Amino acid sequence: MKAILFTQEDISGFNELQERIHLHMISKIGVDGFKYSATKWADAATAYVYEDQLCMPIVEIPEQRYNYILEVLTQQEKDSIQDINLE
Amino acid sequence: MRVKGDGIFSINTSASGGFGNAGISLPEAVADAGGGGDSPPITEELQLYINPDANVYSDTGTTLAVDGDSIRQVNDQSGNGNTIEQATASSQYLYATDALGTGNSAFHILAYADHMDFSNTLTIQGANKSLTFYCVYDKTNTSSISYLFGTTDGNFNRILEYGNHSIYFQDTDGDSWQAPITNAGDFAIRAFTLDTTTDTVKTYVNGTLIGNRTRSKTWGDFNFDSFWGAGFIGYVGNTLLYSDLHDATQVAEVSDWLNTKYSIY
Repeated sequence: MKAILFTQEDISGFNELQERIHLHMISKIGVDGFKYSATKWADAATAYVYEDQLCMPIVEIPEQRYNYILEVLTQQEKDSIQDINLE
Repeated sequence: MRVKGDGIFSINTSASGGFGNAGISLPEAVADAGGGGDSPPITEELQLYINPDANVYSDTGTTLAVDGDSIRQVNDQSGNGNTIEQATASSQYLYATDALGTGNSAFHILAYADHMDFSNTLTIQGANKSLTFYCVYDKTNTSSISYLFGTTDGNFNRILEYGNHSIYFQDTDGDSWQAPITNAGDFAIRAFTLDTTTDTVKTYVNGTLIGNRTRSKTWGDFNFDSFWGAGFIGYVGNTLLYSDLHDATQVAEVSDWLNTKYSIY
């Protein structure tokens, strides 16, 4: 699974990014039939902790949604996406 | 906050509710507006019936989901209004048509954190009620712990699969008991029963008894908040929960009914 990881203290960083993704998704509703019905992209309070870090999933499918996520990420954030194994 | 560790996951917050739990009483022939509506052969003590081919929405109950949509809400077909929902986008299932068998839709769970929550806690009083749980799923990962039902705060109240070989029932006090299953990765119709009078867990796969374990214990309430959840990746089909014990004949009857849809055996 692809994800961006945050320290457990960096709640504000997690929330800033999730809100940025969320607002971008809202702005895309209806574009090429895009659907989005959520109140937030992710939630630090319910996020998994992976190796002591908060895990924000960056799911690759559906492709349209994934591309919209990439649109809103900085290059540094894109570079920070990593594959994590939660098996 | 969920932590992967020794099998105890915890989440600090609970999902917001607010979708219709109006206690609508439906006749036994359960209706639906989303296609695929049908009626289980046993409806007594049916608490929950989730059917991926009926009333699955990409929003809060207006727009029926189509293949590839993220799922926001699914309406309970039991008539009890036990709606399941997910407002956090990165935790939503995807809707997959023609995914389980031929022409059957499924919830595609593709991330470790994907889950849906009951709009209102589904409670079964283990002190005077037994449980029977039917589910059709195809697990595609090998996670050692998969929550089939659970809670958003991680405090017990679970039906969970452990080690790809056992099913556990665990009440609100943490008391639990288990029985073995066969390979959890097989696409199968599964039934798990907990007889709270004899403290016996039985597991069935495709209508056939697989496991049977008994111990002495006292059961409390089961308060389920979460539908499927941590650890499971794969496809989920029809899911039913009864607040009653089904014997082998009844399990075969319901399993055969499910098999008319899924054609597994």
